[in-house]
Amino acid sequence: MEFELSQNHKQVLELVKWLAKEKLRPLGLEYDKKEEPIPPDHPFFKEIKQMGIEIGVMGSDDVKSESRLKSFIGESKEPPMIATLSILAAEILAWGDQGVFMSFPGPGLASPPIRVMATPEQKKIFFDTFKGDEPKWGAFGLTEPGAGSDVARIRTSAKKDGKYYILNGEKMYITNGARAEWVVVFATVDPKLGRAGHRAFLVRKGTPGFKVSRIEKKMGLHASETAGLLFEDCAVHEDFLLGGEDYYKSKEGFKGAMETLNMTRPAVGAMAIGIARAAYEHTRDYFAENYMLNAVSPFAVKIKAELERMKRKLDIARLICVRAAWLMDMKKPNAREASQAKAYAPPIALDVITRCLELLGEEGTLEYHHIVNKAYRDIKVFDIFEGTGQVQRIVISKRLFASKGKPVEWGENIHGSPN
Amino acid sequence: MIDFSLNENQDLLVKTVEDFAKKEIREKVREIEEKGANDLRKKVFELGLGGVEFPENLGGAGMGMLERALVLKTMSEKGDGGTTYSIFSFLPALYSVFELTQNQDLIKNGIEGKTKITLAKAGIYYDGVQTKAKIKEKDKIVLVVEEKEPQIILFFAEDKSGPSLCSSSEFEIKRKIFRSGLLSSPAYEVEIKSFEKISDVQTQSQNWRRFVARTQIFLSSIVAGISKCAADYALDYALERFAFGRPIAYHQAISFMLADMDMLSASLEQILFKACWEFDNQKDGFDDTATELFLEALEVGKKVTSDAVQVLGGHGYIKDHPTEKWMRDFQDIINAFGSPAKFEGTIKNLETRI
Repeated sequence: MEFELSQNHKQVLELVKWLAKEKLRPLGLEYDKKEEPIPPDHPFFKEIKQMGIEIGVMGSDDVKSESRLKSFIGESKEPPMIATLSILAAEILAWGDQGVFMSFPGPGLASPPIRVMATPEQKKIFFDTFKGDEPKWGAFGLTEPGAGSDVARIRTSAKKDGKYYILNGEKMYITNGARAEWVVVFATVDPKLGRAGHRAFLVRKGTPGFKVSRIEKKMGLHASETAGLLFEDCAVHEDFLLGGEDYYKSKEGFKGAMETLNMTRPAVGAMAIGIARAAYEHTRDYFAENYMLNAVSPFAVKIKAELERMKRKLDIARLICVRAAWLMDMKKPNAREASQAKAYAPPIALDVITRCLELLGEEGTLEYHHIVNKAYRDIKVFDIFEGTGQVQRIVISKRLFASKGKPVEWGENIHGSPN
Repeated sequence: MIDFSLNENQDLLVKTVEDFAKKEIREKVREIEEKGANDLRKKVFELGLGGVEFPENLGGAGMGMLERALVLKTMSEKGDGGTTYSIFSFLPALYSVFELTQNQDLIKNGIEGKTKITLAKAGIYYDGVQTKAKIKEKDKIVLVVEEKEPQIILFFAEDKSGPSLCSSSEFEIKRKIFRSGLLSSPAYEVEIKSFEKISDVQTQSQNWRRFVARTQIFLSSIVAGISKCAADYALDYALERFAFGRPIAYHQAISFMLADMDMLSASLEQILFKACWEFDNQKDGFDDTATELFLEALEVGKKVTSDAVQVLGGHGYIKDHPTEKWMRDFQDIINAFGSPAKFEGTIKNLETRI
C-alpha cells in the first residue's frame, strides 16, 4: 500500500498545473463573464494543439498511446498508470477551468466508444482526422430531449435503406456538438427492442440532414459549448455503423462500450473536486490574508473548523476517485467503485463551494471572489451528467445485490415472496 | 507510486483474524456482551495479535499501524466492534508508555497480557486529548477505568509544571458505571490513592502527537469495521425482508440507503489506510490525517449504524439482531477518549493533498 505519487507523475502534474493556472484559469473567467463558449477559431486551441494536448487521443492506438505517454513522462520501470494519472490531471485542469478543459480539441467523449466498438478502418478514418495542425473536435451524442438516464428510451431512429441508414431524431446536451468534425450518434432500429435495438453511428459534420439546432444557454460552464443536434432524413453509409452489423449480434459488445463509463465516472468525480478546490483555496487564502485563521473570535473559530472540514472531505473524495482509477489500471473490476466516486464527489464539491459562499457572505458577491461564484454555477451539473447521483446509487445497489448472488432487479418473473 | 493493495503477509493476517472473528465472536456476541471478553483476550494474545505494531525486541511482531488497523477493522467487521474494543482496550495504555516513557518491561508485559494495564478515562482536557485530573494536594482523584481488576492504572494529569503521564498501582475501585454501549467492557469508577509521574508530556510534542494519532487510528479502525459490518448486515436483511410484494432492498428508498452506507463505509476504509500509511512512513502531517480520519469516523459511524437500525425497522431496535448494539457501541467507542469535537480546529496544514 502506498499513497505517494511517483516522481514521473509529479513532474507531469506540475506541468499540468502550470497550464491550468496560466492558460485555463484566465480564459475561463473571461468567457464566464461573456456567458458564451470560446469560439473554435480562438488561438488558444491552436496553441494547445501545438503543445500536443488533446482530449481522447490516449487509447486510439495502445502502442502509440504508451509511447506518447513515455515521451511525455520519460522512460520508467514503473507501470504508466494511465487511468490514475489521467484523473489527477483532470482534477488540476478542472481547478484551472472546467469549461475550458471541456473545450479542449481532440476526439473527446467520442473516443471511448470508438476505441471499444469501431472496426480498424473506422478507427483509422476517425483518428486520422485529428492528426493535422488544425484543432478538431469529436462529440458523443446519446442524450435526447425525452431520454437521459434511461438510455433504453432513445427515439432517434435508424432505418436501413440499401447501403445506408436513415437517421431521424434529436440529440441534446452534446458537448462540442456544433464544432465537432465527427459525432458518435446512438439511434434505435426498433424502440421495442430496448437496448438490443441500439446502434451507434459515426456522423461527419456537413452530412446532409445533420444540423445544429441550438447552442444552450447554461447556468455555468460557459466556456464550453453545449449543443442540440437535429437529424432529418440524414443518410449514413453502413460503413459508418460503429463496429459493423455483426457487432450488435452479441450483447457483450455493447456492454463493453457502456463499461467505458467506469473510466469516465471517476474522472467526472475528480473534475468536481478540482472545481471545489479552486473555490476552497481562494476562500482559505482570503481568510489567511485577513488574519482570520489564527484569530479567536467566534466567527474566526468557525471559519477554521469549516475550512478543515472542506479540506478533509475533498481529500477523501479524491481518494475514492483515485482508487476507482487505480483498479482500472490494475485491470480489476471497478463498476461499483467508479459509481461510488461519481456519487460521492460532486455533492461534496457542491457542499464545499456553498460553504465557501456562506463564509464569505455578502462580500462573496464582489468581483474579487468571482471564482467562487463561478464554481457554484459550474458545479451543479456534475451530479447530473455522466449518470445522475441517483443513477449511480442504482448502479451501486445493483452491484451490491449481485455480490450476494441476488438478481439486480426485481421483476415479474422473479418469485419468492412468502406473502 | 499509488498502490491500494495489501501484501501477502497482510492478506494472511486478515484471513487469520477473519477466521477467528467468525468462529469466536460473531455467533456469540450477546453472550460476550453479558460475560465480558476476558477469555477472548487470552486467545488473542496466544495468536500473537496483542502487539503486532510494536517492535520485536519488545515482544511485538514488528509490523505497523496498518497491520494493527487491519486486525481491528477485520475483527470488528467479521465479528463485532464492541467485542474488539473490549479485547484491545489495553492498547492506548501501551501506546502512551511506548511513545512517552519507553518503559520496556511494562510494554513487554502488557503485550503478553502478564500485566493488566489500562489508561483511565474522563477528566479534563489538554491539547486536544483528555487528561484525567488536576494535581493539587487536596484533590481527590477519581477516574474511570475499563478493567475490573487492573494492576496498573495510567492517567494524564497536570500541575503547575504542566501535564504528565502518571502511573498508579494503589487505588480503590468504587462502583460500576452505567453506560449504553460497550457492555462487554464494564467501566468502573476508581479512586487513586497514590501515584507517580512517569513522563513529562510537554517536552515531547512529537511523541505526544504520535500517541494521539495511534489512539485515533485504534478507535477509527473499529468504527470502520462496525460501519462495514452494519452496512453488510442491513443489505442481507433487506434482501430477505418482504414488503409491498418484494424484498425491501428492491424499493429505491431502501436501495439508496444501502448504496450510501456502502459508499460511506468504503470511504472511511480508504482514509483509514491512508492515515496508517502516513503514520508508518513518518510522513509530514500524519497527525492531521489521523485527526481527519477520526472526525470522519465520527460522521460515518453515526450515519451508518443508525441507518442499519432504520433498514431493519422494528427488528433493528430489538436485541434479536446486533444492529442496535452496533449503534450503542459506536457512540461509546468514538467517545472513549473524550469528545472528537475537541479535535476540530487542530489541523495545522490546510493544503489538500493525495
